[in-house]
Amino acid sequence: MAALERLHKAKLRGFSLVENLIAIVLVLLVFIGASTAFVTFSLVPKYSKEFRAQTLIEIDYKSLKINQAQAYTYVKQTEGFELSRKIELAHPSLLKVNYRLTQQDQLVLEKNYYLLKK
Amino acid sequence: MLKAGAFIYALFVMFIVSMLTLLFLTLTRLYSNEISGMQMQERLDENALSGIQYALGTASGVWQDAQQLDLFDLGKDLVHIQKKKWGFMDVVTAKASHKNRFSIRSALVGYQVPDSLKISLYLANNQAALHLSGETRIIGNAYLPQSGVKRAYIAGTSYFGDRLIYGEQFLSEKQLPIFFDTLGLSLLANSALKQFDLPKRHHQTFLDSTLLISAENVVHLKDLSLKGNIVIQSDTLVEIYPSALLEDVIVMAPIIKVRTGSRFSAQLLAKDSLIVEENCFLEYPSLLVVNTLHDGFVQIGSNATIYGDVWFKSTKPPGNLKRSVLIEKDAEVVGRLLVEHGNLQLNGSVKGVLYTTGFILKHPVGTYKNHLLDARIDRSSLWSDYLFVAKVVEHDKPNILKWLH
Repeated sequence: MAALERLHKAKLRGFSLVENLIAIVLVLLVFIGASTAFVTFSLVPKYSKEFRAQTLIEIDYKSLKINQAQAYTYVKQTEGFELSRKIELAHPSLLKVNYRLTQQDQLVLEKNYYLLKK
Repeated sequence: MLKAGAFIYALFVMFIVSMLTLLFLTLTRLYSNEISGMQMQERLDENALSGIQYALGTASGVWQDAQQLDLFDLGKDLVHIQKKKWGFMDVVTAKASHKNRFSIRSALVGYQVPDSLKISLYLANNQAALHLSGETRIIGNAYLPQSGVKRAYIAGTSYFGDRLIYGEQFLSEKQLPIFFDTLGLSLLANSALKQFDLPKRHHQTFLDSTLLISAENVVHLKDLSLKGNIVIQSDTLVEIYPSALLEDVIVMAPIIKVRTGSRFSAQLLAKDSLIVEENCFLEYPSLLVVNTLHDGFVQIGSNATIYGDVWFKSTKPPGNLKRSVLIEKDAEVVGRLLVEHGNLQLNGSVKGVLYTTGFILKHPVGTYKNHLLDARIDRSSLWSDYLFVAKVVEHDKPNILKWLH
C-alpha cells in the first residue's frame, strides 16, 4: 500500500514537471511572438520607408547622371511620397543636386550630391 | 497558503522573462545601430563620390596636399580632397569620414576635349603643303598649313580617294596649340619611398607614398607583377618583357624598350628614345613620352597597338630630313599622337587625333617632306565620350577615367 502511494506521488511530480516545462515554453513562445510583432510593427516600417525613399532618390539620380537634359526643379508624387529635386549650378561645370522626400508633409529623407556637368 | 516553491518558481520565470527582455532590447538596439551605421556608411560613400566630382568640377590646378571642405555647408559632410600629379596624368582622391567610419575613393582623371577641338589632324603651318598618296585617309576636321593639301605620286603610286580630307579644313598656326605640363615629373621624386631591389610582386596603392625603384644600370622587367603607385627608374635603359605584368606604374629611363608581344598599361617616360617592338599591346590608359634635349626618337613596331597617348617633344627643331617618330605598317595608336619639334613618319594608323610639326616619308626611292603614303588618321573611330589620358589643351574637361580605390 505504501509502495503504491509512493509510486502515485512520483507520477504526480513527473506530471507537474512536464506541465511546468510546457508552461515555460508557452511563455517563451508568447514572448518571442510579441517581440517579433513589435519589431515588425514598429521598426521595420520605419526603416523600410527610409530604404524605399533612398531607392527612389537613387533611381532619379541615376537617370539624371545619364541624361542631364532634365528639369532643374521638379516635384512629383510617387508611391505615396512627394519627391522634390532641385539642381543649382555650383560652378560652371558642377551641379549641386538636392533631393527632399516627404510623406504627408513629414520629411522622410534629404540627400545632396555634386555632379559634373556634361 | 502558498508554498515556498511557488515563490521560487515565480522568481525563476521573472528572471527568464527579464533576461529575454534584456536580450530583446539589446538586439533591437544593435539592429537599429547596424542600420544607422549602414546609412552613415552609405552617406560617406556618396560624400566621397561627391568629393571626387567637386574636385574635378572646381579645381583648375593641382593640390598635392589634401584640402578639407564641408560639402554642402551643413556641418556634417566633411571631406578631404586631393588632386595630385602622377607623371603626366592626374589622380584625384576624396576621403569622407565620421567618427571611426570613413570612405575613400581614388581615381585617375581623364580629359574630354570640347566639340570644337574634335579634330583628326593638326599639322603646324610650316609652309610646305601636305601631300597624300596611295590609300591614305584623313577622316575628320583638319588644321593644315597655308599651302593646303595635294595629291602626290610616289614610287608608282598615286592617291586613291575621291576627297583629300574627309572633313572640314582650317588654317593652322606655326606652333601647335598644346602644352606639356612637366610639373608631375619634378614632384615624383620628392615624396617617394626609395628602394633598389625589384620586387617580384607588389601593389602600392595611391593612398600610400610613391614607391621609387631606382637603378643605375640596365633594368630588365620580366617575370614580375607591379601595380599602382610605383616608379621604376634607370639611369641607362629599361627593357620590358612579355612576362612583366604592369598596371598604372611609371617607367623612367633615357631609353625604354618594350619587347615583342608585351601587354600592359603604364606611363613610359624616356629622355632619349622609346622603342615598342612588334605585336605589343599597351592597354588603356597608357602614355608614352619622349621629352628629349637631343635627337631622340619613338618607334612603334608593326602590329603594335597603343591605347592612350604617344608624345614626342624635342627642345630644338628637327633637321629637315630627320625622322623623330616612326609608326610602322599596321601599327595603331588609339587616342592621341603628339609630335612637337619633330618629323613623323606614319605608315600605320591613328584612331583619334594627331598633332605634328611635320611629316616625313623615308622610302627606298627617296625621302619626302610632308608626305603620307598609305597612312590612316581617323577621328570618327574614336567614340565621342573618349577621355584622353592627360590634359594638353586648356579647355579639356576632366572626368573619371579609371577607379583606383
